[in-house]
Amino acid sequence: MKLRTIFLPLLLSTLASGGATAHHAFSMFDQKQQVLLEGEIKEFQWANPHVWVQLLVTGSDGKVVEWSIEGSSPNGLRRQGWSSKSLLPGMKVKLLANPLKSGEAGGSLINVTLEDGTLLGRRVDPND
Amino acid sequence: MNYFARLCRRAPALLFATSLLPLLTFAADDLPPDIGGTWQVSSYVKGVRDLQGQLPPFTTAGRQAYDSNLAERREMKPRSDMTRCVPSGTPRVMFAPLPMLILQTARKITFIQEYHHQLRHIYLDEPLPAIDAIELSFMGESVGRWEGDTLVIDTIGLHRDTVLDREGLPHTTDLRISERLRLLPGGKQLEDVITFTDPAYYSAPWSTRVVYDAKPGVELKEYNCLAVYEDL
Amino acid sequence: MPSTPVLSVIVAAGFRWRLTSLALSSFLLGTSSMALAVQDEAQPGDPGLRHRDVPASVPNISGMWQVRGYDRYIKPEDGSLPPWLPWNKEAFDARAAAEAAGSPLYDPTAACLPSGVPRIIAAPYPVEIVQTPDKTVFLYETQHLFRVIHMNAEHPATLEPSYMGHAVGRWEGDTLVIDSVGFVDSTQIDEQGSKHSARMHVVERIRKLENGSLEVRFTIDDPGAFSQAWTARRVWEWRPDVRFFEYVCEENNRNAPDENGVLRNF
Repeated sequence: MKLRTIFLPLLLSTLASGGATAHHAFSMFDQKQQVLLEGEIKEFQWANPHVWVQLLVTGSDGKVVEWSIEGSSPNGLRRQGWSSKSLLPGMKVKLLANPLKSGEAGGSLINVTLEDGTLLGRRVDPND
Repeated sequence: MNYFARLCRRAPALLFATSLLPLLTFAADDLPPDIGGTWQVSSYVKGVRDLQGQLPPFTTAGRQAYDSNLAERREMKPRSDMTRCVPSGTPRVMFAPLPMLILQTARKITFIQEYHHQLRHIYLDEPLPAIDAIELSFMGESVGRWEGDTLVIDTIGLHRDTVLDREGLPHTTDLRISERLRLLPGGKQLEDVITFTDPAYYSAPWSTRVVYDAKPGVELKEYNCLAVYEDL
Repeated sequence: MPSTPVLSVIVAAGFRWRLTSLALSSFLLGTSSMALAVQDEAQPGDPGLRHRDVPASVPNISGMWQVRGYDRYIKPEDGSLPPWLPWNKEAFDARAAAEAAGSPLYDPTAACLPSGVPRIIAAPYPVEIVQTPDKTVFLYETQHLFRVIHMNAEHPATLEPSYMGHAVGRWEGDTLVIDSVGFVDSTQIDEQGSKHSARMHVVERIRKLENGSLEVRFTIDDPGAFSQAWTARRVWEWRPDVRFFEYVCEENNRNAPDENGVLRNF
């Protein structure tokens, strides 16, 4: 797995997912940037107050970095069609997130694309 | 005017009214008793036992899990992080010695427990969902129905992270709970006979019984675990 | 149903029925249809959604509701800014600055403490209202909180302050008026960060709108935190399609605040 990061500067970030989005903790993330991670699911923590995706990403240097990606409440996600089994350990996915302002390996979840092309989460047009 | 003439005059009204009498008897039979209101456990037990006062019939795995829980909970040090405040879940909350408020409607029964403001939502006259269609939780998924004067509640979908009583009776995620609630004669007490079916840990279904006293004047207090940590 | 023997018994007894029998029969039909009700998606005003002894004359607001469009900022309904006292404005601005800097400040709900009032009114998760003869109960998905509104009652002389306060209510025509006091001072008005004092007094006015939604207007009267009383508004949509999911905040809270009150990201 190669680490591919695409930083997409956005003019406006509209978190229009219809659920509780402009949340207290989300100011830790850079809403003007996006990072696209390719990796393997280590764990999908399906619990309140936020779901977390632990993603193993292998860099071009061969080193594996574990990213902690924070999502919203499983309650809202479930109503959008997610379940605790949406992401299983071992799945190979592409995950789009707003990265942590601190630069550490973390971000807030925008969407996940599964190997078969299924998109979970918000569809984002890079030209927004 | 003779009796017969009077009867003929009233016949249409009589016939109309009496045609509805089946509805009267049907409706009167069919209205369940009112178990709404505030209740409180009559006698608090930390170690739940079966109807004969004995420990339930464990399988080997069940006994091992119980012994492990007993040891762990005996030595339990107070935890400072908030994970200690996950709710006790059901059925443990039904044994807690704090008041509960039951809301009864034709469609749903709600149990509001003072202990950690836990809520149980029981949907009436619906099928139990399939286990793969739900997410495991602390309270599970419950459906209920009235059988005469008895409210029967079925619950599945319980997290593995809870125990059945304060001492640590174990369960698996396959646990199925069936409750039979009814008012005791006099109407001032409510009985809940709770039956547990969990073949991995218990070699046969087993039951326990908890009785509640009516507490109509009692208001539920606010209970915030982080302010007042109690392992009830 | 053995109606024939019953009929013959009645005829033999020469029972006297008057027009009251018509009233009785409509009551019976109503009662029996309740007992025979099918459990599909509820219609607004379904008596099966509330306790059977609530008089029909009491407006029926029981059932599942959910706020329309989540807005984390509670402002006056005329669009102006909350009339903060200086200390409150300072705190509000400090919070906004910390958020902009990427180190959001402590928020009681981030520590899994209850949202309080009026914050819970704006919360994005479903709410169920259940009316009984002497109570109107609000059941929230958010942190499985609840409020019991004691109808036609008075606040007790002494109150232990709580996060959700103590509430009494009464109907004024088609409007449910709820009066709440007895709050701790540690909750926030909203997620944006306006604060309040222990003197806060909240009055909610709840009524059904033409389209079946519920309008919740709430007035915050708190001389310890605001220079004048002010009124905000939310609309709750009728949501019979929604069922509660469990919300246990303590289950996996990785943002718990540190010793300086700064939220963390684990």
